[in-house]
Amino acid sequence: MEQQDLRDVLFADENPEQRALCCVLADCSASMQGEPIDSLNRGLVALRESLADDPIASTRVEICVVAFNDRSKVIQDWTSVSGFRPPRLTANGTTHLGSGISTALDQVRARTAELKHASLPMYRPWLILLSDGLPYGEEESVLARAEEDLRRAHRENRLIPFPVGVGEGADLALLERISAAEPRRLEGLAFEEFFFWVSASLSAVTASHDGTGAVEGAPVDVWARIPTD
Amino acid sequence: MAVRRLRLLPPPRNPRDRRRQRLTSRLGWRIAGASIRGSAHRSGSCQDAWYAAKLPGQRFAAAVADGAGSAPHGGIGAAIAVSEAVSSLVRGAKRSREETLCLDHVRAAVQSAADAVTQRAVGQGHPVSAYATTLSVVAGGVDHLVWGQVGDGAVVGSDGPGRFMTVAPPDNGRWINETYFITGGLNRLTVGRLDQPVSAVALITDGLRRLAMRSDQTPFAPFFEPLVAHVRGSRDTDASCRAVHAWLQGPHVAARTADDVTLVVIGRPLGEGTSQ
Repeated sequence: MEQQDLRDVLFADENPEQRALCCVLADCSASMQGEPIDSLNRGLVALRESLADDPIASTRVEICVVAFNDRSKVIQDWTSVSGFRPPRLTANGTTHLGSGISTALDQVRARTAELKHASLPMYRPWLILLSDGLPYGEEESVLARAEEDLRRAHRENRLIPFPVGVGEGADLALLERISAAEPRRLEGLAFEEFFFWVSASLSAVTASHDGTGAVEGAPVDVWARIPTD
Repeated sequence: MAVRRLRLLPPPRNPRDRRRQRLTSRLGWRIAGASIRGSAHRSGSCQDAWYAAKLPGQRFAAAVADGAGSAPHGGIGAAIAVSEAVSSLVRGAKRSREETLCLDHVRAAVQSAADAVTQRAVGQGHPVSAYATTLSVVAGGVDHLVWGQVGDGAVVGSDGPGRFMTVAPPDNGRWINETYFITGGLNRLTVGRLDQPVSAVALITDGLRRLAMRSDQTPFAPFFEPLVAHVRGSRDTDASCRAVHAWLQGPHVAARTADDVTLVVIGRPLGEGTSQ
């Protein structure tokens, strides 16, 4: 039985293991208030617990959490799984999606450059975009620029976007347009199921040796519905 | 034997000393340690060893050793070396009336460890090199440390939360997989003394080095801090030894090294100043 406080031990940063970056970009605007944000917070705890149980993924995965409403903020800078303290996000304000995307892209870009400088092999970074609605309160040019950057990053294989629409109101067409990736709709508020899926998929990816970068995640039907419309 | 129990000093005869020792065990140093066999040695036995003791007057002594993988009896050499080195420091501390320990105590401890290993080899009719082992020893109190080392173990000290320094850096040869052993003579023995407040000390063998030290040989504080906090927060030595043992055996360490690993952590409960 491992002592709880010893789970906080971090290791000297000479881990020669491959790194798998996973940036969670979370919509924390007012429409996420109440059960949605609580559920998201529980989901982040589930992500940590689930990754910590996997000895390989826990050495290879690095997590970062960016929240956005009127402004975007790095809530959790890049950390190993053992150093990840799931935040308690709160929801209010408007939905500056473009600014959030730009901050997340900066995070991925900066960490990728650091790891490259340290000659550490990397899996292609994941950008998980969780949004429950439409961009609101932000100048259109900001979103247009972010969209352009995200699409280019995806096209140039610099990251893999996972756009996820939260709730029935989410505009999946918009999420698809800005990320050039197929969005999924989160069924109900199944954030815990979603983050278990993220963890299982990261485990599968980090345990793979084929080097193709192909993402073969766990089945998504426990948390998502592929849009048919 | 994977877990080596601490050997505490027998109760002193003098009632005044006994009272002092009770105080010491309540307020003094808390020690935990474990040696774990690495996955690369799964078929054989653990070739690391550790030993520690509390000394009178708020002092402690501890040692870790890493028996050479290439030596058929390296693990026995390591076990003999740590117990003899600490016993020597216990004898030295009992004899000296001084509150501080000096470099001569450390040199004597390493020498008697080397002698004991040699004696075992001769008694068994084996070459001494069959018992090749590194050795790191440290002893001290609230305001000083003395240490001695042959080989690639390491001693780390702390003078407060989050502040760690290398007391004894690992001594490799030119190549990362080569080092020096007490059975090869003591010309590679390095000793040192630190005269400053000390709130925690940790000893590691080579198996943990990459996990606990940066490439410039400075300690990685986020590695040591939770371990020190755990040990200084636990009144129960057996329980904290078991916790360290379980943690070293756990998936996070196993995922990073296949070598035998040894860790000894010594800390004072927070709030105890050097004046106590």
